[in-house]
Amino acid sequence: MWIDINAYTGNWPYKQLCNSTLAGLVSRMDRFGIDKAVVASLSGIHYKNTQPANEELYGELKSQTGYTERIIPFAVINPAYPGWEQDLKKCIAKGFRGVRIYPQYHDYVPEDPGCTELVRICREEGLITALTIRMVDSRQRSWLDIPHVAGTSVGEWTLRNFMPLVRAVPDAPYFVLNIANGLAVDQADLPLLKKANILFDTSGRSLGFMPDVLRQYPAEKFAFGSHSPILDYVTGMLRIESLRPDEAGERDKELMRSGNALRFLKRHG
Amino acid sequence: MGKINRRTFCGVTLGAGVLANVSKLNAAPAASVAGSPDAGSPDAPHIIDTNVSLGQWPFRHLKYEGPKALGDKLRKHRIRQAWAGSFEGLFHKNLDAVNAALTADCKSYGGNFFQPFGTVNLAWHDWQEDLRRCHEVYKMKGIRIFPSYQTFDLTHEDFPKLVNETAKRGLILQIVGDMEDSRNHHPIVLARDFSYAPLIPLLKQNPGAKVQLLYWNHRVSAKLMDDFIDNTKVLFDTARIESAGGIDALLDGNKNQKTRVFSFGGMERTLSEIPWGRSSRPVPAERLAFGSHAPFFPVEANLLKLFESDLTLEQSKAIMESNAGKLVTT
Repeated sequence: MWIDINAYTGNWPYKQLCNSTLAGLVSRMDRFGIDKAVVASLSGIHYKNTQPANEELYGELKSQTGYTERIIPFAVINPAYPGWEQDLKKCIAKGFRGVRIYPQYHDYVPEDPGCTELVRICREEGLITALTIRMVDSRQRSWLDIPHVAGTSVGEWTLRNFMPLVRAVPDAPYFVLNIANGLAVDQADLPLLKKANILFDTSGRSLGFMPDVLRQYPAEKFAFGSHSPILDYVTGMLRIESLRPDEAGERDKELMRSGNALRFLKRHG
Repeated sequence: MGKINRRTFCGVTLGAGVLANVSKLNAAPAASVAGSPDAGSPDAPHIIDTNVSLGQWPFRHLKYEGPKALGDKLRKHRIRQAWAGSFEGLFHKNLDAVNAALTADCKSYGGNFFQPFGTVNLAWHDWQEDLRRCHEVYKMKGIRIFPSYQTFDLTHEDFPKLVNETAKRGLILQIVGDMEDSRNHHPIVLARDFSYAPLIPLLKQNPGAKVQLLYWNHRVSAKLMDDFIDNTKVLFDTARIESAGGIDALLDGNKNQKTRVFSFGGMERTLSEIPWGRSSRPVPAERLAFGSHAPFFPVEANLLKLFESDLTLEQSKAIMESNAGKLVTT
């Protein structure tokens, strides 16, 4: 069984994307044998008011029978936008199982009080908070995209940028998605990172050499994620499937294919 | 020349109720207009909307997004043709894919209702090829450029070539000043400043060039407007002409506005000091063409702006339809 913990439906302003609808995503899931996917609205990242994007996703979800069994909706919430608490309540009532936040795009930092409050509410409501390190490689970004560009003084974000949030709400469950620019954190944060309730997806460039990563962190910390439709569907799968028996046993592979995601979603989502 | 009973016009066009003097416009009863798209007498005046967009606006969901929703909405208001650009043209790098998708979207609605206006970006080296495809492959009647979003301004070394090439091909060149009020910009949008002024000498050299400015108002001062009127044949859309009655204020040279004091930028200013395009001299009706900027703006806002202006029948027809029609056919 395979579960994708990092997929989207909707539009990305800077590029035409294939399979950017729920129907497109499901056809891709069928093609590659994926049973379930955690899905959020890509449009919500750029909407000032993210709630219409969550409603669009919900509408798509209800548009065909069978979607609700396979699609696990996550809401895009902007804690810097007035009324986000109401949006969150509405999403919880509609059955959303987690929240995705985008501080880089919504112009706040994770340690802002609104953001930590959001994560606390999510923890209390049994929702997972998903943190996305980056959406696109900044070297290919549009000139209108956010100014977080590798090699400049602003720079792309890394896991370090989210650590103040993990420190503030250490017992909340997190997905950390599309990890680029390494898994490194400050030495003082390392024990917290290892102990925290975090699941990393396999879509990020920093997981390019999984055997090394698995020597640092146990297989229980990882789950298949595609970052579809921005990234291709199979790279995240191949990072698991290509592991040799001496690098990861069948049990570990099964945990990364779906076991860890199921455990997380059952306990928290 | 008789003035139009504008409330009658609103009643017919907006489907708000049948009022008196409908026969003046030979228009269909409001009930049928509201009930079915494209209803009404074939002799009734119609509108060419020179400024609509298809595709997705990234920063909020727009109610009448997409060809079906927008086309049905526009046709209910007697709009018989709409010149459609693409929101994606502002943001995407692969503009040929955007232009191909825009053409397909326009065709999908049928009846040549939407006329696709492709996007060209002078910042890309192959803009000439995009322009050629717009004309020869997609059979477009014009193109649209967005200098404030596309990292070039009208002093770009290739801009004279673009004006020449569009004129040679008989294409309409629409130059968009803004897409929305800068106060409403999404924080990550860095729209750039630019001036329309370099256009004037180029159009003197290319009298046959067919150029229309869209949402131009924040970038055209009273003096620049006078220069455009005196020295070029540029057409202006109505999408962002401010205030009810704003159109007739432009047409009569703001003679009733000369002594008015406006609050602008935190200061009291006279008309000549504010930059949203109120000409100091009368603007001929032949220089304006209806443009709604739908679905970003409600189409009704521009219809009201038109019908709340005190226009003659000839002026109304020119702005609604014939000025745009002439631009295509000449």
